[in-house]
Amino acid sequence: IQKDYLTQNNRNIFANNLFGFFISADVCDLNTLFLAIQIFDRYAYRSKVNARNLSVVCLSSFWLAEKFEEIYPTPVPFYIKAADKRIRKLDFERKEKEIAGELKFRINYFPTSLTFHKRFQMILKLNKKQIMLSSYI
Amino acid sequence: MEKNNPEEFKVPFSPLLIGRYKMIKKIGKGSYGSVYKVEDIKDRKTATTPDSPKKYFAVKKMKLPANRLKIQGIDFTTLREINILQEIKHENIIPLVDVFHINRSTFMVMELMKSDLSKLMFSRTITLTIPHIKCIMLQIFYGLKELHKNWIIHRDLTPNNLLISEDGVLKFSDFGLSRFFASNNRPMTQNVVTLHYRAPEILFGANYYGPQIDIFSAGCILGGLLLRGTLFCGRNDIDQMSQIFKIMGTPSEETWEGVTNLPHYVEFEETPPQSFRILFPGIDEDLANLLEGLLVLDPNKRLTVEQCINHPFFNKSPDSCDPDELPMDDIS
Repeated sequence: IQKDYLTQNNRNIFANNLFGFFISADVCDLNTLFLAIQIFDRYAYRSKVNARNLSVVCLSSFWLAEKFEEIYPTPVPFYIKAADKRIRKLDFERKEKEIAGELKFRINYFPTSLTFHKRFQMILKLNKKQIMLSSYI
Repeated sequence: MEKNNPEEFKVPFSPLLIGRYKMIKKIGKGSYGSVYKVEDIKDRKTATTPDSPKKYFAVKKMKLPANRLKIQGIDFTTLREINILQEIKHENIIPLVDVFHINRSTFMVMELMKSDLSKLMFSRTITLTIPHIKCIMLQIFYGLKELHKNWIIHRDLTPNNLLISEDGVLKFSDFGLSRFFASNNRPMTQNVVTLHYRAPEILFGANYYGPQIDIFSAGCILGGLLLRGTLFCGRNDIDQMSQIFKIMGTPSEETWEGVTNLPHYVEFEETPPQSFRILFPGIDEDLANLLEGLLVLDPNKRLTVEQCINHPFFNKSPDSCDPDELPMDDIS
């Protein structure tokens, strides 16, 4: 990510927080998390993301990914609770549209790294422990 | 005061959408939202001659998502529909021109179509001959082949969703219920496909199903084209099942392996399968064979799209007509 505002460190914080959120939100598909990070990266590449609006962007990209992957997306109040009520519902919805518009509604344009990972684990015939460990790389 | 004015409440946006599309009139309305006919202004400004033909498009305004589950923002079915349409480019699938957002609603700009298959099917002034039916069915199968090749199930294949362009080319639309299959073992919902075109495995509540449900819907459409009406016209799930089994025979473990293990399996009064040659007197053997193959109860024994396209019915004379020879004059 080449933008001035967002550092590698910021992105790591975002990914960590999102992972925590992913576990608490009781989401069933791991691909949702990977897709959310991909959406975030692609959005951050195109427009300005700074530390101030980081939480809104990160949560709304997760929301978009969830809408795409899950059968029943998590309701909005849960997101606002997760952000300690620091974001407003209106901002949240507006940001989502902004992201979708910026990406021209191409949500899963590229396969996520998880797709490749799944291919490799099929080829290498990994066992359960190896799969679990390798998905954190 | 403003709220009491119904006209203003219905159209919350300006007649010029994002400065490019000029609204002309409302064409249709459905469960998904409403469709408007628009004119492309930007294209006219760049045109070299002032008399160049006007370009018209159809704009689909998606309804706001249901508030029941407290899920707001962009509707997720819309998101999936846009993604699928952007991915596929095929002659028999409606092309997506543009997507944009105004206030809280999403707009999808698509090609303007003249009519749909249901108008052709239920029209009392048009006669459909075997070449016409061949042409329609072949186009349906070509579209389905492209979808299934890309691992997509349409899940809402009805005559209403098959639009016909001015040249008589059939195009699939309304991908709001479609999804990718085969990549993950996630259970699927049973609330798909219009009841009259629903396959028996969904009626029995199967959690996993495949592209065969589209084939069954195509079979229902073929039956409808011959009958000039709806083939199985049930009032509810049970009635629908009994109507299907009246013609296709009651399923048993011998004819459909594993049917008794399905979640909503109900035993029906046993009836033997009927021949389509008795139901539709005058159709030839290959057509009856194709219908039977499309409407087989066991999804594993149903024909695949490839088999349908290569079916002897389509190779025999009379050949299928060209798309522009379809009778369209009486539909406006």
